[in-house]
Amino acid sequence: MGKYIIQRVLQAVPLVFIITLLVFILMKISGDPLGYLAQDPRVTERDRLVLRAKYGLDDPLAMQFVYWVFGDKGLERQVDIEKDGEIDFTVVGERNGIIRGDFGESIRFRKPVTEVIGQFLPNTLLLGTTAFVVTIILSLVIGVFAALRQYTLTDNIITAGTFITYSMPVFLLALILVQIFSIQFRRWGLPSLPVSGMYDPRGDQSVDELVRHMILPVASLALINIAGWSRYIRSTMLEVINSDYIRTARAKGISERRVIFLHALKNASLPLVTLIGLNLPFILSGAVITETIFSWPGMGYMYINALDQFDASLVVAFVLMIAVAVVVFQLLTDVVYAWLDPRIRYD
Amino acid sequence: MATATQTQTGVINLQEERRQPQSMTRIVVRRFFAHRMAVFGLILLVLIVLYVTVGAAFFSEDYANKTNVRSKFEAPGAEFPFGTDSVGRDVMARTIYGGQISLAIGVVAMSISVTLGTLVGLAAGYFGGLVDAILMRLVEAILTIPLLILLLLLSRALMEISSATTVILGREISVTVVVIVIIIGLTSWMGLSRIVRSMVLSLKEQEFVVAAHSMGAGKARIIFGHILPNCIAPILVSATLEVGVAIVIEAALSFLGFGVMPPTATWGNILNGARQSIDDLWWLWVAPGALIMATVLAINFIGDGLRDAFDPRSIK
Repeated sequence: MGKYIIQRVLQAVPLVFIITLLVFILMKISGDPLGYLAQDPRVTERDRLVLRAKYGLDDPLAMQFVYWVFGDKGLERQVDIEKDGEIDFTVVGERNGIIRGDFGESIRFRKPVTEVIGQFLPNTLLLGTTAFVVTIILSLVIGVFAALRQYTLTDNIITAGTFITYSMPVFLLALILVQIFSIQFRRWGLPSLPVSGMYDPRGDQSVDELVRHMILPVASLALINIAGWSRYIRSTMLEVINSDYIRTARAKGISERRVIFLHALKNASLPLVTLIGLNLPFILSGAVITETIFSWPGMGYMYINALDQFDASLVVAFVLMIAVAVVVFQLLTDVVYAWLDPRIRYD
Repeated sequence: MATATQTQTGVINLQEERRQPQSMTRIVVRRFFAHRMAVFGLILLVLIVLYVTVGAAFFSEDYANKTNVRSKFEAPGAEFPFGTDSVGRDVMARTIYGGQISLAIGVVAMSISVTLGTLVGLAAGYFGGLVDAILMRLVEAILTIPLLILLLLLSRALMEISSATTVILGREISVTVVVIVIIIGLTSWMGLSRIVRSMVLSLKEQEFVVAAHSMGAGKARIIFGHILPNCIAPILVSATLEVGVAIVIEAALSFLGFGVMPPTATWGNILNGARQSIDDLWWLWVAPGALIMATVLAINFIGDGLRDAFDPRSIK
């Protein structure tokens, strides 16, 4: 087992390197990070050159990558404004490199990128984790229920329902929910649900308010995922129910409830571990569409705004953080799976 | 008497049919049309295609893009069956021309991604070794970034927010359409490349490939003449499903304002209008939303039907 873990970690290292390189290339093709300065009349040509030197934008690309990853603290760059061979001034590099968690400063928030992310992350975790838990519970219930009633009317209705929600883009579902539970409910004089932000700007910041604001975004996120997940659980459950050991358990006279919930569900939930493990890191990325529709101040919302304002260092840190989280969770999932399933031997 | 003969002919025909070997294509086509949901999907898709093509005969594209501030936000009625948007454009005319663009984006993006996915899968599987290692690590690396997040970044990087247009097939179309098609195509080939690779790995050890090799067939001939035809089933299935995925992704990007820019309409950017108004303007999103959903549902059904039709285990 220990050997297997070491082996998997070693495999992850080149992957993280390739991801870092990819993100660097994406950053480079996104254009000039100092492009926003061109619109500011107060910025002189000299200021611009100082900044270019500070961030090493005129270094060879390979060196820019190295400095970006490992930092360029203390590195001196000489600037020659008139290109006459005479050095006008020297700029000293200040970056620690992303390997030490230095992603630079957000140009919009005027503070370190890691701090900005720390500010939005809790909101996303709250929304994402709630939706995730709701998804798991409901898809387990629906999936097992449909599997036990295979090919009956109930199963067919569930199948049709999941197929329709599965084909529905999340923005459409969110718009439908808003139309029904906010706009129509208000018109009918029923208690309508809020559709924007985490709290009412005029109201208090109570838990009650927060829950009311969470209902619609959580519902849109969960409903979309339940469609796919419950299908998956239904098929793994069917596979297990039709296997020999379940027949044996039934033949021994064990109650049906015990057979289903103890014997069958235990084995059917193994693939669920993979599903959960591989999807957990995507909670971090936030739900870009859902958060935008409901103005939920989370990571996805932050990302869209950062893109809108060309906040390059924030965008890059966000993308890299998610990619690395995905790699880490893939690794953890594999290890947990190996530990849970005695049939898997890795040595 | 007549009945007896018919029954007898029927029996003979049946036996003959059993004796006669059927071509793969015929078996697949027969099984596909026996799949009820697949046929339903096909009919639905044909209806949608008819809507966006025949519908175009009733409205001109200039009319679909024409703004008229005096008739903005009109609810559906006799003059505008689907209402009008924030600048007074006819939503029905826009869903027709937007549908053409959305469907075209789906098909072209699919062609790019299927070509790439197939080529990468063939190369990785056939050559193995370092080529395989590099290509598959690249696939893994791209898959670690959520698709929408990657596409939003690429869209922002490559697209100047401009109203530049270009002429394609005699129609004036926003250049953003081209950018979107290319980036969707370039970011959605990884799944297929893995499937093709694993098929090639098993195919290249089989006798017919070894035989072709020993008879002096070149690499290109073995790959494209012997291995590729045997991978056609998963390629066709994922090509079908990819059209739906590309349509939804385009819609999501346009909905967020990172996709196709007006005046060119797509189902996605018609929906974008609905995002900006919290008021009760349901007609701005119901029609394009329903069209996107119906198209994706139809494509998913067809893809499912194709998968079952190609599956050798489900021979009936």
